[in-house]
Amino acid sequence: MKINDINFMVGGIAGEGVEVPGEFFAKLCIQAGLYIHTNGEFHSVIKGYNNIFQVRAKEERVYSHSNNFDLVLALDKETVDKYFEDVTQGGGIIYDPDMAKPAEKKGVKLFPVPLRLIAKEKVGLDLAKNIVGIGAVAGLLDYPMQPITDMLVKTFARKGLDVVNKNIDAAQAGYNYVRENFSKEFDYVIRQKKDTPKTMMVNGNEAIGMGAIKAGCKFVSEYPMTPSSSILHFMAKYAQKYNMSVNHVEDEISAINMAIGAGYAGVRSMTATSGGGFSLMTEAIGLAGMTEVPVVIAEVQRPGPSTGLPTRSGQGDLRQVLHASQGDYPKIVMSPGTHEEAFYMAFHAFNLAEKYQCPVIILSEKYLSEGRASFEFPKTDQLRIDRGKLLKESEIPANFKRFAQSPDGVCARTIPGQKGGAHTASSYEHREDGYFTEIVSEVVDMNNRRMQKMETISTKLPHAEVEGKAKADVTLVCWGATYGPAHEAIALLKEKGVTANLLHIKYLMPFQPGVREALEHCKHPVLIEGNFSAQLGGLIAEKAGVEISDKVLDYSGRPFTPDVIAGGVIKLLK
Amino acid sequence: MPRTLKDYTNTTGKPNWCPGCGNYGIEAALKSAFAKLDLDPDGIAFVGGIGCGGNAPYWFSSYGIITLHGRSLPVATGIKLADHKLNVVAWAGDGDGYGIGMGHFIHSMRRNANILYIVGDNTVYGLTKGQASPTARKGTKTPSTPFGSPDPNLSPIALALATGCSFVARGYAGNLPHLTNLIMEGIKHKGFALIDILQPCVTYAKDIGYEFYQQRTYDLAAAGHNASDKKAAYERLSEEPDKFPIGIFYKEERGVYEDEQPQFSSGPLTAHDISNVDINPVFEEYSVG
Repeated sequence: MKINDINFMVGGIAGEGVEVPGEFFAKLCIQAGLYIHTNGEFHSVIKGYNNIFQVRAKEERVYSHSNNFDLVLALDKETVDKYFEDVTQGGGIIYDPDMAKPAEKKGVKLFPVPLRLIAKEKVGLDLAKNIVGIGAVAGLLDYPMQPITDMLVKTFARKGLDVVNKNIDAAQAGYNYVRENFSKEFDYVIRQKKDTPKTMMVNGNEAIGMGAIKAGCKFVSEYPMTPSSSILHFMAKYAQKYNMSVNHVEDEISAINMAIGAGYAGVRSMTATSGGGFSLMTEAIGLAGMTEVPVVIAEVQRPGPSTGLPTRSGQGDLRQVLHASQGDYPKIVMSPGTHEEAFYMAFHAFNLAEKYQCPVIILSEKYLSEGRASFEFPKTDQLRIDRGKLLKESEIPANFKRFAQSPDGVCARTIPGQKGGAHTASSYEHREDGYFTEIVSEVVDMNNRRMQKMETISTKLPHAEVEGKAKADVTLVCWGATYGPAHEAIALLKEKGVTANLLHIKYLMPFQPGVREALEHCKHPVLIEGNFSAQLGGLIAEKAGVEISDKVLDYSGRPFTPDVIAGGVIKLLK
Repeated sequence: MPRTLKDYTNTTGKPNWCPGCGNYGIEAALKSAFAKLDLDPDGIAFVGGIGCGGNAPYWFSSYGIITLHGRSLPVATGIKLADHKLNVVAWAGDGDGYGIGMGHFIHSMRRNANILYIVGDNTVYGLTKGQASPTARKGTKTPSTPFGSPDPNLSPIALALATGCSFVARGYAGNLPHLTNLIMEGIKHKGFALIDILQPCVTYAKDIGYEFYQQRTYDLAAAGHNASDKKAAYERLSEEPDKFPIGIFYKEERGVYEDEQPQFSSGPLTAHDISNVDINPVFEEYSVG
């Protein structure tokens, strides 16, 4: 019997509530005291096409999804046809016998449940088959029905008692059906743990939003773009509670320019977008660099080029973000590996933006930003707001020069409304007092001073560190949310007799210090990246002087799984 | 002591516009309006676009930001929402504001934040050497339209009326007292105020200079125009290009973007204490169980 360790997937047609059983399952597991990690694979349509929602759950923190399913709930035929072969030995599939008939497969249990018929009978609606399915899943896993009932009450309360009761009946019928027909047939069970950690379940975008709120973000301007939109939704939801101005504006150009206006005027501001919207923002990101305005931009990647794969994941935007906008100007680019890190990075992004008076980009990807994880509440006691060299009115010197030379490159800053701090912040090259200049020495000095900030930032960044055993056969080198599957691939490699450790690069610009030193001690680095051209690999070669020739690259639009990474590494070792 | 033009002047340098440029008139009218309203220079955020007029913040003593071509309005909006106690003025040109920045113009009028938007309208892109702007008439010959502009001109006033702009006005850079008054009205107006300013470009649009406008402009108010009558405002436009009425075409009081949101009621966002925001209630909302 396998207790409290399961990879569940529900599949169905878009628009039929595929996510609902997935969410219920995730919540059920969390209530039982488990950790979860979710991933959705959706088509870029509102209705039609097969979508899947996957949830891994176990007693330890989960960092990645997996495509080997222990239990599948198939709400449509296509889920059976496409994914039956991915059901693990000892696993099972719940399906509607009126819709599909999986071939027999040794070691895989078949659980035919007349989902649609029960739904029609209990709720009078075919669509409630997902609710019947939830009941069936709980029944198979030998888990009590009550938590499901409670969740159904919460979910449908606003639709009235009749709807609530019908859905409870539907779930109960699914539950009873599997208890009567497949009692104790399934090897996997969920048992309530005694000590359940207090966790929250969030996606990466929500984690970024929470970090932003904690950092005192007061202004958000965004134009919706998958998969970044839930940052806008999240911030809008909390706009009044936290007194933030959250604006859905006309386009990405407006979004970034408004955020820059707000940053210039002295509030912490942000925008978010995906690769296409970021392309539109690039000119203004240079404006923030030139006028030395703090602003935070979350770029949530989806595969390109162009419209690409709107609802899928990838890591193809690193180079566009690094090289955004013309000329040389200071900019910080960071990329979180986990949901917790997304929270902390978002918080620090606002401090960094104000300390160094430059744009800060949080580079995320759909996998992290829309995928959910459960984890303990982040510790916030140690988080301090640092507004850098923002002057109080009483501190403004006579003949204040906004862009004055300074050894660390960072100059004192004033904001409109402050007496004695007036200046012009110009997109044209300018002197220390902000007035335009084309005089050679002034132009050179100003460039030097601005770029000095990059040197200063570099010295303050945490050094890159190898995670895991110091000596290993291979070192997995990655960035962004590839961290999760890479982290879990280490255990899979160990099963195959390969020791592995991990180098996750968190700061891409300025390039994180310590990468060269770390790689010098690695026996066999292997680059793991979600793009065609090994963009991080090129950056490591450029900045750390190390060429990593062995690569596992994936540009399929699907996030890495631990076994894809492990398999890729094993292949390279042969 | 009442403030004078000097209080709004940054003496670091002098404007580098061509002698006779309409921008001088706009600059003087702006400073006069500020002085007459006795605005605190440190409480003005002056946003420039890119173009000859967009450089104006250099020569003002207020806070200024010179932005990107076409982007003065979103930057101005961000500033206004960050600190809605500031007087926010954006100065764009006709290429800047009605060409590349058109999208922001339309949505700013819808949004109705309390901003004054002045557009120096000289029918050409002066800074890039005289190409036809969106307000140039069909057939205008310029370096980018050597056989005459194939496109009819855009009417910013008609567009503003149709878009629901709450203050639609036109000034003339050659009529300082009138323009000063108009700018004062624009600043006092609660909501988004557009002042399109007919402005001779003495270098690249010599045919439509001071003489041209001197003969063709007349004051709407003096002519008995009712600024709350939108239909009459449209009718006035049909007099172009024989006549160019100046003054307030249309004005209405309606909800101001920032005033309608409770976030702004406890003072400017810049004044909110962010030293220890409690995020735990959000964590709790996202906890399961």
